[in-house]
Amino acid sequence: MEGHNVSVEQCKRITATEITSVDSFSDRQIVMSFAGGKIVVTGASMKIVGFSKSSGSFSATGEITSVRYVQKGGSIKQKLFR
Amino acid sequence: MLRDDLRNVAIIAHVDHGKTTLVDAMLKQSHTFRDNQTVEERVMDSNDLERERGITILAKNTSIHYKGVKINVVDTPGHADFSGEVERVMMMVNGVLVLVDAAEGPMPQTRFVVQKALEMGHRLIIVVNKIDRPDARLNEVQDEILELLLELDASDDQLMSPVVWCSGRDGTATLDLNKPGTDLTPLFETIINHIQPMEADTEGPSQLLVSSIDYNDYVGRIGIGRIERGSVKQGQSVVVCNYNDVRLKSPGKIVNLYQIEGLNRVPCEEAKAGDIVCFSGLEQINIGDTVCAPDCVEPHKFVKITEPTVEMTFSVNDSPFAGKDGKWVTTRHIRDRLFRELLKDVSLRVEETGSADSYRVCGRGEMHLSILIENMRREGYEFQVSTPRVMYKDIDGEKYEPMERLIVDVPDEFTGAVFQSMGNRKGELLHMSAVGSRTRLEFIIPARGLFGYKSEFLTSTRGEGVMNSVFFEYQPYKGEIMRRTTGSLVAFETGEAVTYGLFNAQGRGTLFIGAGTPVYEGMVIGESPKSEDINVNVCKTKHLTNTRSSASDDALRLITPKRMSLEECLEFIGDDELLEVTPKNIRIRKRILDSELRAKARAKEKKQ
Repeated sequence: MEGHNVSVEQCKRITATEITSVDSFSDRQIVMSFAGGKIVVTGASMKIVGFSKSSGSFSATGEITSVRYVQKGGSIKQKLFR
Repeated sequence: MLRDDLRNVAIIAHVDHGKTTLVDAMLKQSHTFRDNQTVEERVMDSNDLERERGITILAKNTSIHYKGVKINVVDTPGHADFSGEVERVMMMVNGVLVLVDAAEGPMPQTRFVVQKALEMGHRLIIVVNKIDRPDARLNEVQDEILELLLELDASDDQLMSPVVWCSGRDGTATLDLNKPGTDLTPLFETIINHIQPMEADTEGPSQLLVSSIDYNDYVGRIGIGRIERGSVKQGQSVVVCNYNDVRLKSPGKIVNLYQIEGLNRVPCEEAKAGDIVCFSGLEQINIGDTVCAPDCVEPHKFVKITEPTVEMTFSVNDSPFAGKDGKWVTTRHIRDRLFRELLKDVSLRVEETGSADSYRVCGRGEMHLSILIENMRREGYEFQVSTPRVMYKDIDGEKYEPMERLIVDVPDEFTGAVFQSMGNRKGELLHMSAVGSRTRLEFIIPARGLFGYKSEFLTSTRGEGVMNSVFFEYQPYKGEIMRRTTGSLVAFETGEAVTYGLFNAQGRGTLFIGAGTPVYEGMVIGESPKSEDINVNVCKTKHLTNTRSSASDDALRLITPKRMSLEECLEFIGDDELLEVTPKNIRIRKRILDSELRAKARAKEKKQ
């Protein structure tokens, strides 16, 4: 998980690296997987701007209210970005 | 010897990107037609189905003369399902025009056919067509093409392919967007200068590779292909062999020899290496065979054609209404027709099954087989087909299934709905990007996950979505996919559907038929929202007693029935249903017509 990064700009744009898949997506929630588990991004009028499985790059826009890590098969690792 | 007087070119592109319209314009501007000759708009599409659907199904050959150079032009199918044709054509040409729509950009079929061309080391000319479209994205499309070539490991020479900006409809082309074109001269010049003339040994012993087959009632089977070495004369004795079948060495004689001039086959005495010719006289000739001089029998390598991935069972129509419409209804007729199709369609496969009345037909997708069904139907055949099934493979003891690469182009607001459907159908997201106000998603999805998805996709994107798929590879089985959540409304009496009966039935689901339609027991007449079948009696008339009069019938309002096309029917039928195809009707029926026997069979199935 060394290269994995998530950055949120002014709660409007999120970019992430080392994303292995986008599991589900709606305008209120996006669930993605990475080597360490899952990332749940919630907000309003969410829109995925780009994703590439080969490069692992992901970016989305919207009114982001929370980004939550869910460890693989374990408890929730609370890393809240407001 | 350098055949500087000849260029063999194929035009390859995605569905509806304007291939055949451009060929029409090239033919007209090279004066292949007399000025006063009235020309139907799509000259190269000769069969009705192609004209109706606006797609090219069969690769056809034509030729143009420009400044003393003969340009053999081969138009290739744009559908991923017919890519058996594209692979064969690659063997006949030295270069390809890669046609891309100025608004849609490169799509799945473009990827598939360009990959085939690059693998064979052909030189490319990128033709960005339809630049007259208001939503044209000229610069982005050029970048997307470059990205595609990079992704497909194109050589440096192929990466530096020239780009010609065209409008097939207006018949104009230009190399510089700032200088609008007036005619197709830039395109002709680019073909002459960029596509290298073939280095051909015109003295050696004859060798001709057959890439296409046609049939004519007068001269019989016609082989079409390029002379790879030496020359071929009319009346010459030859030997037919095949690269993949070393035992095949059958002597014969070239009775008639033709070259292609414009759209016509013109008889000729002799043709040299590099020429694309048609010949007759060899009755058993087949695609992939090589015609050689008797003293030097040397088969030519033939490109491996990707195998079929979808199969259906074609069987004799044994429904109660069988034999009413069709001219050819027996198993002998159906068998002959299917095996005759094999001669012209190299990506089709037909096998006999345990029963004398049914045949296993394998093709490259639902579209491929639905075109065959439609053609047979129009020729007067009557038969039944089962639901399409994918062809699994057993690799190292594990079950593998065919996967497709799907590209979907939708307005942003429908992205969620598509994502949802893909999740249910085991699709895996590969790539997602914003393209203007739309989003392009690329999935890898099991071929069986795409069955019945086209109509769902158009409904969920309100007709604004564009989807295209092409075979990707075989991967381990992905598990159960729920195909159809709805049930069928099944008629349980033979007769004629009446308003009164239909009025009661329409409350149970969506009807496919209207009043006055003849029905039989076991015929599916509608779709029910529940997942089980419902037996309904649409022939039930109102009992006229003294308290009722026939006039009160007028108050019954029937909802307009949903008319299903052949493709929609193929998407709809379940494993326990068949599609009865006749020249005038398409009817869905249960395999077991009798409702009691059907109930018993279902009970037994539930017990197992």
